[in-house]
Amino acid sequence: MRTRILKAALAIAMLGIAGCGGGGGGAPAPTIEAAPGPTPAPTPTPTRTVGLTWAPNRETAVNQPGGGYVVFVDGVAAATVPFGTGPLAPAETTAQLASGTHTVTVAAFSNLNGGTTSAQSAPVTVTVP
Amino acid sequence: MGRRIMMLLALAALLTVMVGPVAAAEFGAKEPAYVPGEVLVQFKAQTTRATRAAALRDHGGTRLATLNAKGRLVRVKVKAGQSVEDAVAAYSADPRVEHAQPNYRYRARAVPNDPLVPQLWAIQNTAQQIVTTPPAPITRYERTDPYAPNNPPAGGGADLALARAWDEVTDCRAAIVAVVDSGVNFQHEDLAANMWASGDPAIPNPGWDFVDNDPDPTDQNGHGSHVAAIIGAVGNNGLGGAGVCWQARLMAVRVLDVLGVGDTATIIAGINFAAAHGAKVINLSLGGPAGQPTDLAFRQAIADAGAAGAVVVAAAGNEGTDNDVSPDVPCSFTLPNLICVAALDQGYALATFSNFGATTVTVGAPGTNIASAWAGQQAVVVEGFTTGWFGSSTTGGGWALGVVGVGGVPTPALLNPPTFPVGLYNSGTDDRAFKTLALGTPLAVRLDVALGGVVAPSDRLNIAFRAGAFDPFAAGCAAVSNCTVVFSDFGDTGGLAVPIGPFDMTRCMTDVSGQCTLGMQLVSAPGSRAQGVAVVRFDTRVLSADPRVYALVNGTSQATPYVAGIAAMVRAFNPQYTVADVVAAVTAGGRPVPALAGKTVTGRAADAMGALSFINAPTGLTATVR
Repeated sequence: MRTRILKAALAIAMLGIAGCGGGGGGAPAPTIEAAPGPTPAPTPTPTRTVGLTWAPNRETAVNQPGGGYVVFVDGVAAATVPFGTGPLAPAETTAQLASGTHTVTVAAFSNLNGGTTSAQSAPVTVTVP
Repeated sequence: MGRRIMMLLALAALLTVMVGPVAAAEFGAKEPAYVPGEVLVQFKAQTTRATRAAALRDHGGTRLATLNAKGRLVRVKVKAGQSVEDAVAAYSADPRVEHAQPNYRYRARAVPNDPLVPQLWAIQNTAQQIVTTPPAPITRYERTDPYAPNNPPAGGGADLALARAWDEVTDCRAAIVAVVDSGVNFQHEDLAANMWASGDPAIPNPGWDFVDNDPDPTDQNGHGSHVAAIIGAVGNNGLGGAGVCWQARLMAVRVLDVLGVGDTATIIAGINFAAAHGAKVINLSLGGPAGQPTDLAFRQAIADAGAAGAVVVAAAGNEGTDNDVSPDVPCSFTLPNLICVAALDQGYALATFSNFGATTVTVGAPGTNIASAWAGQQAVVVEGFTTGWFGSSTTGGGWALGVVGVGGVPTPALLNPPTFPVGLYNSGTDDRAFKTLALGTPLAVRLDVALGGVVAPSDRLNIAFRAGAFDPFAAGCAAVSNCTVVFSDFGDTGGLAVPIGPFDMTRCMTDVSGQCTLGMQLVSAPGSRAQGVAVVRFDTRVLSADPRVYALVNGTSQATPYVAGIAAMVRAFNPQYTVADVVAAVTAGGRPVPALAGKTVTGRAADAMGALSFINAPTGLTATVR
């Protein structure tokens, strides 16, 4: 169990994404602490925080409960940025990305879409030193 | 402990990121079918109040309400962090519980109670047959134009998905829709409540009449009212049908005359008025090939409307031709704020009359057997050529009532010479025949004429009207505003009876007597003679105001307002939408239809739910390494 927690903590260090700002947003991300344990932790991959912003979608349903955005990193749906409160779903977030070059896109969703998202935004390439 | 749970929950959520891609299906899931955080628990019969309370405590639940007299059915708030599914499973496994379930959500079905709705296949296509007898309490259609193919279709389902869309939005009042057409019967029972109000004393009615340049855009044709009610017939009022928008703000802009004809100057005046007064959608169920490609004024008016924030929806045309090959105005302008619409039948085949165009026609929509409101009661006064005619001749010849054969059938007619087809009319003559009709004060009167014979090139056959009981060919008629020669020509019909007209006689009804005199005149030059004329039809069609009438009509003119209504629905639902957004939602949100593939730009039929649920791809993404 401790090992699982530790791995999870490392995972967060590698790729943690939390919604913020944008006139809405959910609760702040919980504080993550490395759990103590007898197994020495492997050397973590260096990561950097990457700030992501985009223009808020104009669809009403995107900016209501059940709406929001999904962020794709290197083609993988990495996290959701759901509507919280306020007039708009958050249109910004941060990602902890490992060193290297990544391709980031964002798509929007709403509760009218039966589980599908919009087309993805034009991709942005980000190089993490 | 609480902190540890929080931490584990957070980890579980974030682990998803590492484990693999998040299925797209997890995003934008439909609104939950049940109330989050609640379950309903039915306890077993032998349980006591104390037992039930203990059970709730054991599961960390909180009693919100007792739902039956015996106290055994309880609405429960589940413990923090517990999903409804987990709670149902936990309570169901409890030996004290008979069953547990989510607190399901239900909603009123948005199906309007209007009597025409079961015949409005575009709303919900159940493979119903569309009939020419309307459902009670509507007594009859003022016009019926039945379309046979795919009526009924082999199967249902080919519709605009409005029944589903109405669960989300029925009120489009946030988006003014201008019906730039023949006017609107704005006192109609199914339209009056949905008409636009300018708030300007100078515009006392819900629009403007650019045909007569006055503030009264009353429909004197029927076409505009039919179009308007497709967009915004009041829904769920127990009357007539239901528009795409149950609540709307419909602006009536009259640019087409009694005969349904308009010109560039009048139409662009109407478009400009609509845009200047806040229309977000402009319906143009009109067009023709005349102005392509040089009607730049028309094109610019549509572009200007787009700059003012209006989407323009136009009809593809009813010639069954390819607009890519034979351009049609305004559809072929291909402007970014212009949506061009083809007509589909009940099986979602392209209607036989519908124009199409792989690069010029945008989408399809229902356009056959469409029931909707009408301008008023229509009556035809069939001329029997038996009584009431007066005549004169300067040469002692002139007109006479008689009988000729038309297709082998003896037919009453007005003849000149009286021996027609034998003999010749007189040379150097002025022969007149006219009849006074008492038609009251209708909205409109048109005259349909059919005739055959030969009139020499130096001679003229004239048709004229004059308000009141006066000779319409009397000297000075041209100086009287309500005395008009509507036809003046010569020719040879080749032995056939051919229709001419129709002619707008509405200005003939301006006399206080309610009388109108219609007549024929044959004027020949000295020495000129020919076979003469047999007038076999001289019928007047009278349109009288009535707020309770409907009609069943086909056309791309009918398909167009369905799309305009959806555009208004989308715009009203998404107040931040731009013109481009609305166009994208209507087009990309459409439903692929095989019959439209290669025949339209999108290959899609408009779909209300598809347009509502359409989402633009986010834009402006930036990434900054910190």
